[in-house]
Amino acid sequence: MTTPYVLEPHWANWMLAVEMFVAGLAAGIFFFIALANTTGRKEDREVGAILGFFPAPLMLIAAILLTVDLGQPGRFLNLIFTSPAATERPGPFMLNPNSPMNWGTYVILVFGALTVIPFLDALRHTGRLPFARGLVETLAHDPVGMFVCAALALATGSYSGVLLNVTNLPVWSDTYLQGALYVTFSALGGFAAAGIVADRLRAHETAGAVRTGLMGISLIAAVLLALYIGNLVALGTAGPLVTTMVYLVAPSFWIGAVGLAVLLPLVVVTTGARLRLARVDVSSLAVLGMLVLIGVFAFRWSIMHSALAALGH
Amino acid sequence: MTTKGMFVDTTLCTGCKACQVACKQWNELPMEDEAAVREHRAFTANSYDNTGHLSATNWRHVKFIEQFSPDRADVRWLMMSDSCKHCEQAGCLEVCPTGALYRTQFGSVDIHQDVCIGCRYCVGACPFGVIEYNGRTGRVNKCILCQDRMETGEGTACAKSCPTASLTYGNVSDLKAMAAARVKQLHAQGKTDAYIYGWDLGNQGVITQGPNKGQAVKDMQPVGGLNVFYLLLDQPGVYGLPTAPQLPQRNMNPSAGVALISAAVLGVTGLAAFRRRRMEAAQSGGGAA
Repeated sequence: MTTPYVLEPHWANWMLAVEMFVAGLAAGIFFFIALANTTGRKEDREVGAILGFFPAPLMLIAAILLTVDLGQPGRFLNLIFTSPAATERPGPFMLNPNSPMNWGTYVILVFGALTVIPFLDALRHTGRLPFARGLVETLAHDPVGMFVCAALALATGSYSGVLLNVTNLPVWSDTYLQGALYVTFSALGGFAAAGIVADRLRAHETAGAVRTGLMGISLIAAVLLALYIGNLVALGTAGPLVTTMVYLVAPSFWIGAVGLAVLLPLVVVTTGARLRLARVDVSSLAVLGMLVLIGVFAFRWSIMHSALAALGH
Repeated sequence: MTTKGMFVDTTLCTGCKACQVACKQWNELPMEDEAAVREHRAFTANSYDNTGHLSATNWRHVKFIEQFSPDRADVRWLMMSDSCKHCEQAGCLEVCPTGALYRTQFGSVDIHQDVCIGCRYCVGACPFGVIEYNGRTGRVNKCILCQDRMETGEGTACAKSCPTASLTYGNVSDLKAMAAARVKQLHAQGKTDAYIYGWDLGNQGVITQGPNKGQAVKDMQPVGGLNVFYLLLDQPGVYGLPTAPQLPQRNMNPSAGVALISAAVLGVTGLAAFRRRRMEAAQSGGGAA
């Protein structure tokens, strides 16, 4: 249980919700790319190659948003290199093992750098890379390298959740499941984006893998959400997430996170129901992908604002 | 170096706010920013409690707690001069990703202002709601136990200005002995509600006045002990102090562990999805369209 006396950090929460969404989406997409490039067939790798255009720009957007929110880019190096003024900290590199933000900085830094690989591979695949084509292809399809990339992608996906978990703020710190939920919703976002690209490329077999993946990940998310809510209810702190209208937290959570991101893929994939958009030439899978992405953003939004709602802001 | 701290005897506090003024003056703390003034957070004007809470520019805050009996015939004021507790295990310091928050040679928790990046992670980590982001500087601020004065052996400005010795600065070991003696003295006078919030010195009693009359109280030692600690006369919640403050790090390993397990399950699920795609494609009628 948290204490009612903790102060609000006064982050730009809407901006952080967007930042966490794009960084999580980049992680989820990279996760899909790693799977496609190492275990998929030619069609899967083609989808993976086109998806490779997205993680690097998304991470760039996340970095810009984070910089705007914190407003002190000149001091960001203090996260990596020990400031000469911080005389109590040994060594040239800053590492506080008790701080998720410190771990996360390194993970995001390495992951952000690695997103260049699928980006270059996408350029290579579309014939726009004038140099080092062989090297890029090797890097982008090496099973060991991709396993490491997938692990870093999942670590990036879970990072924000663990970060919020290691505070004393209500809702965020009331359960251990925050990191697990964040990484699961990142994977959901990645597969949803893959569904849209698979649809555009008419990659039928890949679409089948995406559907199966979406169903499996939604199932995991459903179990985690049930445990999460049960945990909060048991502690008596579920209200700010599941009932409050402040910042539209409850509607975002129930309609977006639970409805669109979790239940919809389960229902659509298991029943074979078809989703259509009027006057738009997209398939059922693409529509599902877009709705799931909206749901994933709604999840980030509702969790991000639930602590504020709990503090009465 | 011996650990320095303060003992706050709330029974002696008259609410004069000399400590607040001394703190503002010595540390050259400005009025709160325009937003705080606009939102009535800078000056409440609804009580003798003028600022309402600790903040980046109010490192010390005198709380006024008014208690009435149901018929309003019996009234008492509890007053408490609050500040950073300089915890033995400080949540703010533990989560700081840049080393800006550090433990001084006196055992207090100080901030390297030029190292702080203004990430505000420490704000949500403090269970007491002490440290706050300063929008003017883009950094966080809180009581630093007058580090500059301690280095010259002067002690804190607030304790120096306290006219009733409600605030006493000194070696924590000496202060603990003083606190234990004071509680015994109060108990001997029939004031059995006195107990220590910050260290477990073995005292326990019963509240004799106010809405919680008859409830048992006993010494508390939260987050490994507080180097600025209090003698209280009522439940901690009455003073706006948490009854069970915790370090945010309690969640770190379990949270990361559960995330790791989930990531592994997701990896297996993703692999299974690719292996089952033919079956799935056949079941869905063949493809993306």
